[in-house]
Amino acid sequence: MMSQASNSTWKRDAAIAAIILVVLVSLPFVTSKGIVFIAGTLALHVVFGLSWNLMFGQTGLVSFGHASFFAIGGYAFAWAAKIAPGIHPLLLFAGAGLFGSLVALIVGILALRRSIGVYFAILTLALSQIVYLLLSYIPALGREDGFTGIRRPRLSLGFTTIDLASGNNYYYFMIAMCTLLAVGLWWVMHGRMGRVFKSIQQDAERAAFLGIDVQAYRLRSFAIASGTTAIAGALYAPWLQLLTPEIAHWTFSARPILYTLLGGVQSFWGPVVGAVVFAVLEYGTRTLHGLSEIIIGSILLVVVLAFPGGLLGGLSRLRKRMNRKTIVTARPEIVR
Amino acid sequence: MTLHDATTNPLLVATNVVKDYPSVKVLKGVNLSVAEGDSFAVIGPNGAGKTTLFKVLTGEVFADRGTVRFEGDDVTRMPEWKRVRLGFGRSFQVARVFKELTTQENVVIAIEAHERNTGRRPARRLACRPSPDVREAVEQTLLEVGLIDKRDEPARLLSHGDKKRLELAMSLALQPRILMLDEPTAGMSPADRRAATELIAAIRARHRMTIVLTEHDMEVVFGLASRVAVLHQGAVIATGTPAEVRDDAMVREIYLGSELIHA
Amino acid sequence: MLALFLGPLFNGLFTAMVVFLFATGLTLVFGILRILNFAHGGFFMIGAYLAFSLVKTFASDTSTIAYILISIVAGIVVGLCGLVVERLVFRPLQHVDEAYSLIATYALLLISEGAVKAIWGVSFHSIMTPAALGGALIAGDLVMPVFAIFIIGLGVLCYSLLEWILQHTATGKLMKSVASDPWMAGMLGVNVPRFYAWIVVIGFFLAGLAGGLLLPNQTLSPNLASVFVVQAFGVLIVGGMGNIRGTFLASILLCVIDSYGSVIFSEVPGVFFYVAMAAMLLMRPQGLIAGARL
Repeated sequence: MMSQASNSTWKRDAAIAAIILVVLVSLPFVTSKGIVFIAGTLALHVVFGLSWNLMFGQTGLVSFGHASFFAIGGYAFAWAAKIAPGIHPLLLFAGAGLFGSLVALIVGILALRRSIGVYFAILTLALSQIVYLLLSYIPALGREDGFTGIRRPRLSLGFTTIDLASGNNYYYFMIAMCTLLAVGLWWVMHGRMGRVFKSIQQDAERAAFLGIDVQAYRLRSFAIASGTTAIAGALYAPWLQLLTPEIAHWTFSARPILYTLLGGVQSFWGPVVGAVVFAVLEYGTRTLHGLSEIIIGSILLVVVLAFPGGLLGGLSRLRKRMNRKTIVTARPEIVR
Repeated sequence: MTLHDATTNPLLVATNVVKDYPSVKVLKGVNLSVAEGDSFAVIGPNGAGKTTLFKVLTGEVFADRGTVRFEGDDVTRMPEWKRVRLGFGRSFQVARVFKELTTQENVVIAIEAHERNTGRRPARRLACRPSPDVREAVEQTLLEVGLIDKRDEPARLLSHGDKKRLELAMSLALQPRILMLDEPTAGMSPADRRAATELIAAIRARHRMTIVLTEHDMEVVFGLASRVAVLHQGAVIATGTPAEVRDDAMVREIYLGSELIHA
Repeated sequence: MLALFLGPLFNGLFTAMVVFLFATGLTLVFGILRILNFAHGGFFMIGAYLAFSLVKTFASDTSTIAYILISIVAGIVVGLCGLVVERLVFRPLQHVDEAYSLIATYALLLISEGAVKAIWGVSFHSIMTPAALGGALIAGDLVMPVFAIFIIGLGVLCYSLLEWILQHTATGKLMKSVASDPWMAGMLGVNVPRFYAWIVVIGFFLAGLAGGLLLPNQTLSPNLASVFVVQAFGVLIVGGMGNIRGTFLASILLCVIDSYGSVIFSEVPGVFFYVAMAAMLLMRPQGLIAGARL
């Protein structure tokens, strides 16, 4: 039964999420500041990857400009926080997300009109270059030097006010926000809209013959993914307290793609696994000049060539093979 | 057998439909009129333009000239998904289902699409699971086409015939006014073919829907069709009941002469 | 006055030929193997670094001949790298989804960046333009560096040569037929895998050669790999999915537009390339030269 299936998916995913959260929350008590910083950044990258996979794994859209929305969110937040410091930070984060979605809507209306596949990829790549260049030219955004002096805000919640600048408060705030975003993405993927996305990913024409407005749903997927990433970008701004145009560069757009394909497209957790593995590799090789790229590149290459379904895909294939063996060995008893 | 009398209104009308591809003229002014309740078969030799006509009627491609009307409304340039919302259902020559999803999920998607097409709001909008109504309808549909035992199987593992059934189930879920079947029995064994013909006939009787189909197999045509149009070199050369078409001299000469007499 | 109107045209043509020289090998590989090769930039860079080392070792006073010979050597070495890459990476990728081959070539790009960092370090390098190609021609107030004229000539020569090979030789016809229907070509007795290997080697050779030839124009740093890739992808797609003529025309179109755009809107140089690229794709999604393979 589907109800049971989706129930168990829900329970399993909630359990995995709980374990991850326990680890993240306890990190500041057991490790160094450096590791906590990496973990916080990793949480943002996970959202970055998950939202990209909403487009790719769920809807079949290959965007090559996802970083531009991360940057748009970050810069929008930093700029708005600077010129209007009175606005509630939660509103600013939401506003940055909406702004990202709005840009995606405008771009998507043009880019998704009839061009799909490699055209959408290249158009989003062009967009990301435009954003990258503009960010490095606009004086109000700090040009190539970047946007500096971004403060961690004070968060008033009515009954109490939390100063996100003190201690690990911003880290916890970020973990909470990322959890919220990830849960939101999970909900979209597993709900009614997610089913429509999946049908489009598998056979857009067939979906259209069910009366589904394919273009409108592709647009929705693009806008949701971009908005989510924009919020992640906005969270990144006070985390680093500095933004440079590099976060709009196409090499950063390649990150969520790497995470997803490394971890596995089919599973919700694929981009999470990919991001974690990538971070570990990066951290482990950080002192080796040049070797870092060689090692990361080689591992990627091996994964793509040896496990085209990503790490999780390879794992589930392995499990299936083992299951099959158990069935085969079990069969004689059934016959008897 | 005939449902075509003066009181029924034409449901789907094609007038002077012309469609050219870069190197060939495929449709050279096709006229046909499908009445409400008809079971309308388009037959013709390979290359006559059946599939292209089908695509023009369903909205997969647009006609270069001429019009397609549905219930009197001009739908010539209407994209397929909007036509579906007016009441078109369609199956493909090679069954197209969502391969990586289960049989059941395929039908859920179709039924939820129908819910949206007809502007009904789901009972619980925030829930991930399909609503109880939807699950009930899925169960019904799967029972009707005989796939209830295979509900949890990934669609890609279904047999060819079962894929066709699943596709039919998805079309049925939309409760179409007019069901367009492109070679519904293509590639089936004679036994499967008979079963499929019976299934379509039963569904047609139960849901009282209009059916348009293209078909190669004459047994299927005479088993299902109330009216037949013969397409030859991009134009309709005869329309009528199966018996009338069979007796048409020109048709005998051009097409049936070579196939039906031997059949 | 001349400089005002023709200056941007000249500069545009110059960048167009730089991009075109970069993109020829890319177009060849994409046109035939349908692999969009991110690593092209990496191997272009390796060609440039190799040429740099060769110049430093053998030719302290860079004569034009030495510079061209060294570029060819760099091309050959990179071409041999292509042979290895084809065997180990591209061949297994033939039956894999497009997205995965994209990621594999991105991994190769990372590896080549890492190799350059490990071998040559992260500091900046550059060489002098060969003496004979130094200086400039002056027409009125329009100053045209000889090196730029040389590169424009080289681009046109390279295009004419490739076009001639494709249109008028047996090899060219073979390339076109494999590009449009590898299965049928295989049926007719073409050893398609070996043919693919040759194409990759030639594509990589062109990358290395371009790296060497454009060296005097470049400051070498490990970032060089990703500088031209996006522009090259742009001209490839705008040109019409991998045909040499389309790539050539698109390079000129986009770079000249960008050049004039950068003069008019001097605050945001370089943006117009991408604006024009997006506009072209929206207006003509099938590309400038549609339907032609190679």
